Amino acid sequence: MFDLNGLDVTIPGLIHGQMLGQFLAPRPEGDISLSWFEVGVAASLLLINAIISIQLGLGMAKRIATSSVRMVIQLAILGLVLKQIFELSQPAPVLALAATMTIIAGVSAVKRIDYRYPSIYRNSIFSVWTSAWIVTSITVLIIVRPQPWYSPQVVIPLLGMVLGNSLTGISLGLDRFMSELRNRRGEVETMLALGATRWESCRGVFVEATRTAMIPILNTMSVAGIVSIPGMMTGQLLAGAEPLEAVKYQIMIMFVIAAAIAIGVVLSLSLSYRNVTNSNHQIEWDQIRRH
Amino acid sequence: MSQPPLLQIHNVSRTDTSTGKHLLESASLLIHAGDRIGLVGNSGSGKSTFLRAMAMLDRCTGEWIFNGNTITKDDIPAYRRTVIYLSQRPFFTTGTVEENLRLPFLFKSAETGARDSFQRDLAASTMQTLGLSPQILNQPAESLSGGEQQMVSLIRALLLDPRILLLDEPTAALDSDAKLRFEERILKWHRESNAGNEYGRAFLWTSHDPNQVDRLTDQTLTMQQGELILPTGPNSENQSANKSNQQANGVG
Repeated sequence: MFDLNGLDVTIPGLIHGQMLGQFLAPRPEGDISLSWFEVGVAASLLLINAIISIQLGLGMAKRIATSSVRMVIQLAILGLVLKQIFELSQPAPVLALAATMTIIAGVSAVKRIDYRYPSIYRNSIFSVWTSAWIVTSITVLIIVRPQPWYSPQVVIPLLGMVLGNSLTGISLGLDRFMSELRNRRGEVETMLALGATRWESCRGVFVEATRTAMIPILNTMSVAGIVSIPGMMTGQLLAGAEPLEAVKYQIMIMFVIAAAIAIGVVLSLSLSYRNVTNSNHQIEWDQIRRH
Repeated sequence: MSQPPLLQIHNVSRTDTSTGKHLLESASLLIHAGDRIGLVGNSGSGKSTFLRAMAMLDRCTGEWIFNGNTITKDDIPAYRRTVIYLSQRPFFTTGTVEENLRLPFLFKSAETGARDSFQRDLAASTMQTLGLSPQILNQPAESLSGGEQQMVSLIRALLLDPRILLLDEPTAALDSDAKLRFEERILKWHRESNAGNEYGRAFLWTSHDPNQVDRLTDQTLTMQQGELILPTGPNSENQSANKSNQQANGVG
């Protein structure tokens, strides 16, 4: 998987790569569909987590239980919604679901950020929206070219994967930007007092935040295929696809995701930089509040 | 008056943009070349807020006129090199003392500054007058003691050849020796740069210590709950400046 685990959000927007892999792969000859009993066997593995938590007094049993229940309910709802949308096969419902997923991703990206300013939600949603939709449109319309173009089997999982990664990047980047700005207040202020422009005083923080946001995807790319088989490829292989075909798809997806993260991060940081500074080369410290 | 004021600020107010709390109420002040102004007040009275407002470091309303020119947003970086705010706690980046002293010369505003390049000899000689060995130029700035850091912070400002220094309790963290050296250096800078009297310098010094303010300055302003009260200075020699400050305040 990509770095979906960094944020334990299992909102419907974050569709695992395996699902996309299975949609894109040709129908399998051997039957790999699961019965609910088999899903139950997998669920029972969670008991191991629960036992460890209780034995070590981690106090996480409740959290494990609620996370699991949330995951099951959310994915079940997703399954039902996808079933409906697949059957309808109309552009409007696909775009409506895509828009909903995008807004949820934008809001989720702000969730873990300690220091916020008033328009941070608007900026996050705008950045997720712009980055994910540009990249997904190019992928769908130019690279994958499904028939029809709005084919929900392709668009929804692909967008989900792009959104999940873009939101992780934006969240990491914004959190770092805001906390570094606070921690390095003395440095930033000193530079301003000695004649730095607002950009000269914030550039170090901006660069640091961009770097932090890009590290997970760069790590994922550099170990892809060595430490783990990426999620979408796993899905395609499970669905019986040709390995080299699956690899080609996976490479394409990696580039697409990296592009979405880069656009989303730079966009969200640029908007934040403009919102926490003003044209008089001042930092709007009053507007930055801890949550 | 023979010379126009070096800096005039008119009706400068600051409100916390988040809570709506008034932090500074319509302060006006004239600073002339050669002024040595003390600013006293309880902690929390707004002394730092006022000094920061003079350096335009926070969002404020009001008017800033330097040497007859109204400061607009594009002038601000260059203005801040000329009217330098020195905070209570000096800050240094990782790197040597010399790298820290060079930092302001990397900014775009250096092109329009009084000095546009770093002068190592000048840095070394300024250090010696402050009782610092020029050898510390090669030391990491963060390894210096608190007193040394405050001295280096002053040198960093002086190397930019400022017209006005806004000193926010600069000696609060210094021992008595270092405090005296710091005070002497400021007075020396003030005396020497005003001797030629073509380009006069001025400073504004905030302190908790009334004796220090008396020792260093010739007029005293008081901050009280965000309001600037002008002036209570006992010295008569600078009455003209006092009077003009009263007039400036009266405008508000």
